[in-house]
Amino acid sequence: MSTNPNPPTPAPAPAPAANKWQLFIEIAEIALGVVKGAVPGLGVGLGVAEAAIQIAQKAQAAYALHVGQPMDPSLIKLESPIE
Amino acid sequence: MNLQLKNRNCAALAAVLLSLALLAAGCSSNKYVVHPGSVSSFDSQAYDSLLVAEAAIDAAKAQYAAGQIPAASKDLLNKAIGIYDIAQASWHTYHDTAASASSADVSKLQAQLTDDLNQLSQAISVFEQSVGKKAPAAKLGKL
Repeated sequence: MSTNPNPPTPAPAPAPAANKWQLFIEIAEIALGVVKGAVPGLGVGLGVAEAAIQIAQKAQAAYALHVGQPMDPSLIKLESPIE
Repeated sequence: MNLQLKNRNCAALAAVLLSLALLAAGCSSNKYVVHPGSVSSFDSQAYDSLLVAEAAIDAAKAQYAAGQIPAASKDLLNKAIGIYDIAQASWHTYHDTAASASSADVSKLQAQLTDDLNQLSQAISVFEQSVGKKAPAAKLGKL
């Protein structure tokens, strides 16, 4: 029995767990989850749905603004809690 | 169809389109552009995640101040902010030391930062539940 001269190459290592899209998906789900709750009878108003959509839009805009730009660590700031 | 129902349908459509746009953006980017100045691709992607989370937190704070999200979401938003602060400190430590640290230390820092970012993602998901539904207390225990 001959050996295979071209053994399959090992699969590449998985991407780091800090998946940059994971947060996007979570944030998009905020908008979807809220809008699902905005149907009549479920007690969440249209204003709440619009608020969630705006949160998602701000987050998406923040990413788009910095694509390919030099890293600026000063942008990653501490956030204070709501009083 | 009355105007109110029409507006609700428009909001739902906008949310669906937004979600699809975000997902499509993620799927269509075959080559990720690493930020110049990062110490690794992991460093760059963690930076992106924190930028997005910070923008979302800032927007949520503004919405809360304007009374546009439920008052009951305050504690969950503060929980997410606390976890974000932990993650941003982990990222600064990783970014500042990874280039000169031993591979063992880099692995340890990377594992810590990964864990912090996963917790941040979970906190955002719980916050989502509090905004979109009426039972945030049941989800708090998972954090």
